[in-house]
Amino acid sequence: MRKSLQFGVLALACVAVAIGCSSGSAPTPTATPKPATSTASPTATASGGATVVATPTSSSSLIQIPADIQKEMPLLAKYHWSKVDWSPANLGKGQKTYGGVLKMNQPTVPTTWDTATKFGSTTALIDTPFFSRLLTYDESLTNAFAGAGNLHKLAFKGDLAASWDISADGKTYTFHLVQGIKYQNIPPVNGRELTSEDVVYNIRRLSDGSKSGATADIYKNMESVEATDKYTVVFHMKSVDGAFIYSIVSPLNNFVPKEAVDDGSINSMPIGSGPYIAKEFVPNDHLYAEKNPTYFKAGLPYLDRIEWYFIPDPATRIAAFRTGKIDEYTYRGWNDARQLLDNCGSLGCSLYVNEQNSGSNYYFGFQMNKKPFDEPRVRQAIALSIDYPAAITALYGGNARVGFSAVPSDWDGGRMFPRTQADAPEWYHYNPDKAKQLLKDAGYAPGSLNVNVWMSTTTGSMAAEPALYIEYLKAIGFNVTPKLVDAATLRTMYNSGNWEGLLYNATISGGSDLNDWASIMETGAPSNVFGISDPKLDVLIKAQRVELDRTKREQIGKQIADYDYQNIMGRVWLPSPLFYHFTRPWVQGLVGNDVYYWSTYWGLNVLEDTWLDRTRMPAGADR
Amino acid sequence: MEFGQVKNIATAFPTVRWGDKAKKSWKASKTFARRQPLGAASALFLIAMTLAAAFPALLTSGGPYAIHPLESFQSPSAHNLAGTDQIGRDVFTRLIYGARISLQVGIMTVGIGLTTASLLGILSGFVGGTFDTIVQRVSDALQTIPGIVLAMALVSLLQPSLTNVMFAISFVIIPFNQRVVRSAVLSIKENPYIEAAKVIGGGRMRIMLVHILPNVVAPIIVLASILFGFAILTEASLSFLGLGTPPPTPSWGMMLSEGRQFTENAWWLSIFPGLAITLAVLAFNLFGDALRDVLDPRLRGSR
Amino acid sequence: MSQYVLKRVLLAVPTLLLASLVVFSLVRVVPGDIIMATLGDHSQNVTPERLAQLRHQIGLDRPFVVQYVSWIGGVLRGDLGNSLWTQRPASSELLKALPVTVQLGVMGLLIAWVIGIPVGVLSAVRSGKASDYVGRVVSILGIAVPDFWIATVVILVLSVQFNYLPPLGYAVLWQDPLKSIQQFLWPALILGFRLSAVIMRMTRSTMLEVIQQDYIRTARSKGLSERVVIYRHALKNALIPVVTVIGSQVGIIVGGAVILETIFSLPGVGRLTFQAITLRDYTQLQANVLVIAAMVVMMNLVTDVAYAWLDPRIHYR
Repeated sequence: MRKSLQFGVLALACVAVAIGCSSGSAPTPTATPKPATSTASPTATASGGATVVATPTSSSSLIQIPADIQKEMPLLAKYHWSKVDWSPANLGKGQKTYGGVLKMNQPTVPTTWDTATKFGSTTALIDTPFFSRLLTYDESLTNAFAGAGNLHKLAFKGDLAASWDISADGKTYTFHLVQGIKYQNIPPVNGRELTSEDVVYNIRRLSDGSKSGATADIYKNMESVEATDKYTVVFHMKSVDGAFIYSIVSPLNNFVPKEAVDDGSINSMPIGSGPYIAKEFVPNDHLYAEKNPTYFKAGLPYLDRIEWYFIPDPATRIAAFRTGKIDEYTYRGWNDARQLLDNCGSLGCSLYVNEQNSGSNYYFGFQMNKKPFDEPRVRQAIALSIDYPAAITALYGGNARVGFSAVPSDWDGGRMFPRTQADAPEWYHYNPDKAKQLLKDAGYAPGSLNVNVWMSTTTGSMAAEPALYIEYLKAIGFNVTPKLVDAATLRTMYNSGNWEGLLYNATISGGSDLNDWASIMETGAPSNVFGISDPKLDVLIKAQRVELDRTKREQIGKQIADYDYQNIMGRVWLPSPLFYHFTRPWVQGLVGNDVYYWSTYWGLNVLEDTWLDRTRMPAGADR
Repeated sequence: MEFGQVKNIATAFPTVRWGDKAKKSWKASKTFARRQPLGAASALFLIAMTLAAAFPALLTSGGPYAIHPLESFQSPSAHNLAGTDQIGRDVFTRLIYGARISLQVGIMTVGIGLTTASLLGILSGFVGGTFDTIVQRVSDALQTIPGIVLAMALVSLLQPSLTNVMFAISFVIIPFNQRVVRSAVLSIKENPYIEAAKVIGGGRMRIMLVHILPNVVAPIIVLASILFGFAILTEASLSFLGLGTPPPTPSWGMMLSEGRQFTENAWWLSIFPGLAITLAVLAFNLFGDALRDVLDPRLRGSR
Repeated sequence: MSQYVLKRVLLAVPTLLLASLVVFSLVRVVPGDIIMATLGDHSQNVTPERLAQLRHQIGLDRPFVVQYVSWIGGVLRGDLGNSLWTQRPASSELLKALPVTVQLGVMGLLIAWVIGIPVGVLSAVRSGKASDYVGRVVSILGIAVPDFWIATVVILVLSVQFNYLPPLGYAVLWQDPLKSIQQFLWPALILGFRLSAVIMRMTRSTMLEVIQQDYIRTARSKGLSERVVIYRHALKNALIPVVTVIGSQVGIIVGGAVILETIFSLPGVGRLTFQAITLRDYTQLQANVLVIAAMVVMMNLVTDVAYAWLDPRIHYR
């Protein structure tokens, strides 16, 4: 009897193994497909013989990649979004096709779908497919190619709002809603119409400080909001606020139906007016959604179905992309990108690269009002001690920005490309001897400066960068004590504005507006944890806040960036790695404005414009 | 002294006559090697590891922290026996210095954790009564929390550092091990010889030191060898979860955890530390097995 | 026997209370709490007053004893509190995650038995010979190799060499058994390999003991074949103590789950607990620890009872 039991177990095991290994065991991929690229000459897609008019030569050669970008960030130059072989239909030439499944990696797990709650910020990473708001970001390849030039320039367009006006004195904003918008046809809203009452209800919740930790700030300048008729919403502001219109574009402002809040269903499923309806949500695992047949924008969306998978381990994520379990892989991180550049799996991939502002602008932060950082020479010495090109080569294979400026590129005078080392002031050019001299001049003999470097650990993958920078600091005479804490503790330290020594951290943007970045350096601002207090800077920061004209704001932004770069206000900027978007060659229209946020699709309604080009899909792709 | 046919490890351990020890040790080693080849091989490995940890400068140059960022990700060569890591540090050097860290973690775990557990176990078993009950209840309660969860919580609480990791692991092993020692004590305690000693007038302290202690030394030694391995492994797991010894300390666990992400491009960054951990844990366990076999053949391979 | 079971069940209560108190105290002594962890991106815009307000809403500003007592009160009513992270009841999060880890554990144990018992028997029967040594080394490898390392290598080899990855998207076992088995196979294999070490050693030692018993000698002298002697007489009795080992392996299972669930994307209790620790989600962590501890206690009791039932020589008072 024992024997047969054992035999049975063994047999079962064999069957299990057989099942496990049976599916998907394709032979070793042969030639590893390289990411699709195109040079300046246009490509014609072979779609069953029909000739497609190629994109005008002029558009992609309109965008010249500057020489110093090509030198300092070769991958950014080579895989710039303007160099990608997009389907012509993206650029207005030809038809976009409907149908299909897109499989995506889910970056985090939302804890609730109601942004106007304490932890609503996690929702914003993934809520745009399900919800709508007044305005949304505008990422249009067509526009970018047609002359606007910068795909990642922060532009916005109406979502629920068909049009809007700002009064002459800048204190009244009037939004005219699209008429006939319907909520998704699921309980508890069951497809009823969305009107100005809903908008006002949401704005009131979002601006209520007692409910929300994250969004109330956006509305702090708002005096009142009202629905003057069924399709008109009017905001009255306390004062002129140049940041307001950009802030309400934030996906934290997604609008939820009152019924779902009242019966609590919004806490477990997303219910809104967006292009996709959530079908199945298993937190910490997956989220499936299907096309909303009554979406208010005619002709949208294109996809039938989207599947998100939450994959916590980075190595598994790469494996998932390679084996075709997910169709997009967008991550900063040279190591991951390098592996995929070598081999992105048998289904092939397409790639574009851009700079990123949020989550990857590393710096050493310090308190400007404490010794020894109140002494400019000490700050300069820190910057001078680092060999940026060598570090970038070692850490990022030569692909990173040499350092940031306190303001994102498109607010930094409206740049299309990031600043390079050629633009950087002398402090950001490696000169350890000068650094030692400056320290001596400032009265610190080598070896006499003790400094802590605080940093956080995730799963051990941040070790190389701070370890390297610390060696540079030691080489010029600092006595460095590395202090490792976990992420939550580091954040607490950061927010308290009270740490001893250097804090190794990356910027996390509070928003996409210039004001969010600039106010960190304003005297007395709650977000100013670096003890920065500079009257000249304050003047600039106040000026941008009340300036409504975009171009003028960009100019002020440049001045702020210059000032910070020159005077090292609170942060010594460290190299910032680039961001890599890998997608399947057939996935079209999935462009990200991750320039601002560490999650690619934050706030973008790109998924309503995403479509699959079947002519580029290999047989058996099962999409 | 013989304690009769008590089915217990304690019985087989002969009274140690320190005088003869030196003379017999060489002969004993040879016998050991013949009877326990695996154990002997492991012992050799452990001796080598200890020597490497004690005198790292003999085998390496430059130290484990010397970075050469421009020579990162070099594959193993004559110059870098085990290649270089992501910022150009020599992996072989770090492996050797890592042996020291691993041994430190093990020594601390055994030194503090096992010692505390043993003392607790001996006291608890010998004294008995309410004290014993309380200690056992608390120990039971702690044992219901899986070790790694408790260690994670402790390190997270205390912030990751080598010391805190060592402390956390030491703490986690106490409940189980004190129980093992206690059961050894309990079985000796029942023996009529102890009763006799008490009657004759031997103080409790004396009884504990002279009679109980030598006979629990055996299981403690065996536990120690296994705990070394356990400590090294737990440190590696904690490093993977981001709660281990912080970089740039060259602990094998951290090296493996970091090297994991480079397995594809730079296999040497994970294979070598992984191999080091595996071999060390293997050696400790096999050696412990061999010791147990020597100390009581009847318990060969148990537990 | 039933008196014994009752006694054990009653004893479980203070044990669990104590365990929960330990964890309760641990997490509250820490700097940085869940509010900080979750506001994350936007915490720099939040003023101290609002922080205090948010803390108050969760009840983090009450004295320690009050928090503990109120939590215990809730537990007795079946309410394990709400996860500070998701605002949903901690018990519902647990209920969703438990089947995953249980499935992983059961499959792992099955595999451990399939590997461990035959190797243990072989080792015992050929004690002292080469196959014994090989068996012992292989079984120790099961605990010597760091499991996150094996898991990484497995995923790499599977994806690069075989273009294969276990399917994503957790499938409930009885709804989609094929997908579920595929998902759990590899992590269960790795876990099973680890668990098999203990099983192998236990089997080996009990077999060795049993083989030396008189009744085995009798069976042999009766002329029965070695195979019958081993499998029909020896193994049956040797396996009994092995059963008791299961209780102690729950700890390894949960520990292994933390790592394997992360790497293989399974939404189980291990990952949930790790997340709770890093996020300082006190309530979820307490709930998890309490439930895991209760399961450990129950498993121990079940195996002890099973032991007594299987071996008529054992009596409990």
